[in-house]
Amino acid sequence: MLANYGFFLLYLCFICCFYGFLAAIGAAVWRHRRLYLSSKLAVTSSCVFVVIAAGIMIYSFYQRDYSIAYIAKNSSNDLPSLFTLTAFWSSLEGSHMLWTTLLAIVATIAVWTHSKDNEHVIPYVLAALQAVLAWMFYLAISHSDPFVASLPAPPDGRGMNELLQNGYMAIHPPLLFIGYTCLAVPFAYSIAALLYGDITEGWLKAVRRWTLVAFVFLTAAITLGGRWAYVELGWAGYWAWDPVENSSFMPWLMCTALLHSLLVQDKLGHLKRLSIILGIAGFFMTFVGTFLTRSGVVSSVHSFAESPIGPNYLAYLAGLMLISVSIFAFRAPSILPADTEKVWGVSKESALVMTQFLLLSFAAIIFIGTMFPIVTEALTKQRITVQAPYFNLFAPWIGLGFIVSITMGQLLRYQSAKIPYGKQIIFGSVAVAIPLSFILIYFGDVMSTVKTSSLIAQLVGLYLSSWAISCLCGDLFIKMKDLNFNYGIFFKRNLAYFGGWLAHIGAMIAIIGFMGNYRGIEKRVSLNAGQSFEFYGYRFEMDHGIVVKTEKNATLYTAPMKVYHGSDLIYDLHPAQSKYPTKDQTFNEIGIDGNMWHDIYVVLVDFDKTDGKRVTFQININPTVRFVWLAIMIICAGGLVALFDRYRGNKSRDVVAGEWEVAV
Amino acid sequence: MKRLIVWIGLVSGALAAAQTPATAPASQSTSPTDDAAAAAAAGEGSMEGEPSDQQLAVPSDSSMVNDLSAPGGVDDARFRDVAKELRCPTCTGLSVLESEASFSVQIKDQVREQMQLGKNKEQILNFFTDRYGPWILREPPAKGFSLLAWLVPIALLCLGPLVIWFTVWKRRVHISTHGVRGNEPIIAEMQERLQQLKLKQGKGGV
Repeated sequence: MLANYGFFLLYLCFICCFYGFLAAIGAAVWRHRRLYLSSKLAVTSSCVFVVIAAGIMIYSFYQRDYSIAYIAKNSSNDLPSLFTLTAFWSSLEGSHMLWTTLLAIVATIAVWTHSKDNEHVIPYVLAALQAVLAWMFYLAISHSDPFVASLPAPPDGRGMNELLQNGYMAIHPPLLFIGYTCLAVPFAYSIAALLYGDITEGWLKAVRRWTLVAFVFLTAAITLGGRWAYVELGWAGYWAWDPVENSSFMPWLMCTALLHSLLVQDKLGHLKRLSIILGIAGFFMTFVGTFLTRSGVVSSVHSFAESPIGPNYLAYLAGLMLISVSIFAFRAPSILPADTEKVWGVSKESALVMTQFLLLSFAAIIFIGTMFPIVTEALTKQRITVQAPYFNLFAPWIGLGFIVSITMGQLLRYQSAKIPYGKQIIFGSVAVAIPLSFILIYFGDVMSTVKTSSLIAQLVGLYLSSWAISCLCGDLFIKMKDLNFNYGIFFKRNLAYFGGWLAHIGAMIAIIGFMGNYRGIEKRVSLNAGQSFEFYGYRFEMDHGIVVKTEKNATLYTAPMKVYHGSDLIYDLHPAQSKYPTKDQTFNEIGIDGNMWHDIYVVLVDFDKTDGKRVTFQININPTVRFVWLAIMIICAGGLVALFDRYRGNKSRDVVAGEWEVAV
Repeated sequence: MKRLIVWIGLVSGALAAAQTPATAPASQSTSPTDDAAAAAAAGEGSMEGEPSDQQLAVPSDSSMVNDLSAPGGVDDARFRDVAKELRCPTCTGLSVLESEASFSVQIKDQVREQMQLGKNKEQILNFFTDRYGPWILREPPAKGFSLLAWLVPIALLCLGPLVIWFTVWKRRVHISTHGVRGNEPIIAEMQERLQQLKLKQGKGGV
């Protein structure tokens, strides 16, 4: 019964958004204030309705109402409380609904919190956001209705996907969708700027803020997804370059490029059209990603026809592209750069352009790699594979480019080729980097974990990133020195700089961490109860075989393992296989522990089914994985710090906001 | 805000608690597929730690540690090197080395067989491409249409900076603003007028 109300509410949302879209266009054309307010209320009410619908869904999940097909498919009687909530977004219809709900919330926040000087573009923003929302609601009621009934209700559900029953998977999708939906705001503002015909300071302020929020959420979400893969899947890595991961990474790259072009636009009034293109493209990529992963296109072009949502997405993508490109083509000439003569030369803005080039070419390479199998199969009928080795070949070169361009970008000043204290910082860092990289090489144990072919690459990479870190620290020192070490002023006026600086330091530490991916050692070993095994200076001991225990809804077959260094017991690992009542398959629960420099990663591969006394383990030593987690935290902190910067406008031309002609 | 979160947490907890009596028998009735493993944990009460007597009875000196990474006298490093290049046919994004799917295990066995025949890496990879097509390799082959997958990114990375250099950096940008003026000329003009005004006033004063 409740399910019917849920569907009705979604239908109502669609009607509200469609009306709101038309009203917003009317408000923009006639500059009609009443219509504008009405459109604003339409998006607000659709937000309220969809939140209620989501509430109904969650309530039904907790009621274990299996008369709703989606719940019967994704939940079961023995599902623990937390996962009963997260089962909501564990499959297609639910995650589409979560996305839609979040988009409605974000759209409502965006149109109610805009600053006064954006009032002239808000009708266009409303129109763009509600066009997207209306389409999402249309999909929800037509092809991906979560409230479809399955009568008579089965006594028990089929159970949630076991791989997703993990804390990281509980928060990864909502964070990722928040990131995606926040990118909708820069998109809407870009369309609005084109239709209005100018970019103002208020526009820049709003877009910068929303892009930063999206950046922080996307960074955190992508990393949590990686962490989930690391602790749950058991192939000893966190990033496999599979299409799903790639499709979340491409919007991140676009979003980061947008942040940098906004900076140039802010300081010099240039690159306005690039910002607009990136604002549109970033949002577009979120849908491309969803299309790729949802339609089944990636696994093969032939699976495309199986899912009804696929062709709809394709039509939508084509429509979105066509409309955005034609709006851009007709209206872009009205977006003028600042009226200054500009020679780019060697300067901070040029370094920023280089960084954007690298970010965008990285996105392009990932896009090519992801799409290539599909294109090849469609054109030549031959099936090929593009997987991690392909991407891993290009990534180090992009990383090298990042090290250089980030360092130069941080050191150089706007419109000037002169670096203050340039010689001291750059050549001083050449010296400082020697001990720093030596520490990294010694503790990171590069010599014994590396494959011989990549030794030089590792050494060069570690040296260069140490150099970059040293240069960045030098830059911060000079900045402080210029302020006479007045921290009050620094933290009051320079939060944007400091946030960027943190994020860049984070990026360098992340690069050091990523280099650990290219080394590492592994061993597969079979132990009897009571035996021990020496590997990489550790002694792994399994004193008794398999222990069976029940945890929530799963049965765990654990092989407790003690790790000694010399004679000291340092880690107690519990690698296990878990078995869920709803599936025959078993799943890995990995025993992970370690220090800053390397993780010990033990997978229970197999065990003797007769008495559980003989167990086969896969032991991996993964260097510098914790550097990556630390780095991402620093990057997110940088994004948050920059968000708190009190924005001061710069060189963009400002235009007085248009008055309402029909203000009644 | 905090209160709201706590409140939601409590409500959801209560809802879940209402469900637990129904779930308990269900979870007990399910039995593990391999009853032997269940026997290993004879007393379900002692969940953790304490090894049962049964387990202690196993003679620990029966066989030495068995290093499984190189069964059949195959060089481990070389085996990994080859297995890393072949995709797991049933999973997304993994090599056969990283996967324990039955298909991957078969392929790994085949790799070992081929290595025992004395074939080198290239020959083994050729053996697999003949059987399964280029699809089995994790990288696109550098010939025919797939060559594009390699050429386009390399061209992009090499030529991109040059294109940017010649089109943007080298060009002196002057923008016609269609009669809309920026701040700077206006400010300059106003300052000039101010200057003139001051000069006039100065003269008048004398």
